[in-house]
Amino acid sequence: MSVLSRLHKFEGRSLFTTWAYKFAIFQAGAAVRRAAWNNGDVCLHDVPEFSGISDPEPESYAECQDMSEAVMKGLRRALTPHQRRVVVALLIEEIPFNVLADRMDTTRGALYKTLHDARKRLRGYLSDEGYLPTDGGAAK
Amino acid sequence: MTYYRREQLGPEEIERLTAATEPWLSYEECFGQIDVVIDRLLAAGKSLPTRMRVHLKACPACYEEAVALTSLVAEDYGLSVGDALERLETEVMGVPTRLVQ
Repeated sequence: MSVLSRLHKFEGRSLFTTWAYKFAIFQAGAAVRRAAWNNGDVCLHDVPEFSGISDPEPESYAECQDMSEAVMKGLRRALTPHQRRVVVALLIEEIPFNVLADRMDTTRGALYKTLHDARKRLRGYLSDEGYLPTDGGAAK
Repeated sequence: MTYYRREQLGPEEIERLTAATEPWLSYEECFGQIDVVIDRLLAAGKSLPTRMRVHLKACPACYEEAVALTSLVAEDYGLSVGDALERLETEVMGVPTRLVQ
């Protein structure tokens, strides 16, 4: 049904089957994710809080912990409360986009834009603090 | 505000949180173009546009759908699913890492 209602928009830039499959994948994927989260709570948490490490791996742990703490500070200091909730839900708790969009009464596109703006702010904060190069390259 | 306790962010979480998403491609633009770029990638090995590559690397939902679409249409181009996914993953991630064994 989703494809039939959009037939007039097919421009022939891809194979018809590829074009049609993308709607099927979108619909099926959204339905599966909704079903999987149907009875699950979607709690919008704020930034996680450290409780300490019980079994650290000395070298890599130290680097990761340093960056981890910087990122957590960045989440608290550089982002708005709305950006924090979206970032934590999507990237830390891994709540699917369409499930979160349903629960927040918004769209997947709007969530991705929020995520983009939040990442940009966070990267700016980490660059200012010396954790990321200013050209947006990899973490130190 | 609700807080919950955990140990620390792992490397994968940090990478997701700090992923660069520029040059910008909106979700709507990604959905509008994904069939075209997948067809071109599989038919002629044509590289993904930079904006699409950046988007797919930073958006797990769209990447998951691109993987599903690539799997479905691989045979239309005489490719095995494994070969098609390797092509996609190499384009997006730089190297085939987790899809191809």
